[in-house]
Amino acid sequence: MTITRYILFPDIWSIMIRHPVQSLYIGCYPMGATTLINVAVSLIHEDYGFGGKPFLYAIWCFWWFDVVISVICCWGLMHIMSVLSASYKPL
Amino acid sequence: MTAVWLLPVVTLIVASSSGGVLALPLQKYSPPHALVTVTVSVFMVTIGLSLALMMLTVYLLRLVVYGLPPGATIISVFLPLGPTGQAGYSILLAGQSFKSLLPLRYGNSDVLTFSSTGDTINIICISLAFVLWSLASMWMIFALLGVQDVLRQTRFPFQVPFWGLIFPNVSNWSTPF
Repeated sequence: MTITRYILFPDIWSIMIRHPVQSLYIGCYPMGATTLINVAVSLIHEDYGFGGKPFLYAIWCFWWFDVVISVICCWGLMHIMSVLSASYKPL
Repeated sequence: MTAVWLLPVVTLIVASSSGGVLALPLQKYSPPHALVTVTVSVFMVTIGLSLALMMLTVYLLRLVVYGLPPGATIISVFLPLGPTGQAGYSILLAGQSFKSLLPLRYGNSDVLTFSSTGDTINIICISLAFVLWSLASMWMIFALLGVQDVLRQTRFPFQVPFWGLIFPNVSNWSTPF
């Protein structure tokens, strides 16, 4: 549904990323992915013994993907915050 | 300024803790991959934690100068527990991974092949994790004080901001256990 929303209304993306408060919640996306990775490793891989080596390496790939998104979130959003800080009232 | 500022920064800390979780089973298959994972995790937790501590300083100033957040957004006072507690957990995991990965059996690095490097890093990591857990507990007590203060003045309905309670408290208490 979210993907459809951004495809149908591409303008929302730039409005969203420039919104002083809502844009910060993008950071929740990699955090949610992290929880999935943790459960996949500790519960499914370790406790249930599912998948073995290929499964673990697949999770490892997801982790690198997650790292990239986190880095983009951190540097990107901090940069946007500082660039746009003049345009909205703080607090 | 609200505690929501912390969210883009906390992502780095959370991703690093997941790297620590991943590194422990990964070293069964490939120690070099596990070592890269832990090192990237430590890099990320360092950046995330330093930025988060800077923001917590500004947040404390905001609390003192402008007062607590109004109404149900008072729940956001629990957000500072997230970066500190989760960073402690992440550093703890990194220490465990280094302890089992080091010393390396290959390569010609003096530091990585030295016999007590892993144990030393582990002890440093445990101390750091305890410091961060103490910091998180301090923020939790401030948060409880803030919530009781607002609750005595107004009643607010159970609504969306309450999801913010889950992650910080869980991450704080996952460190000691």
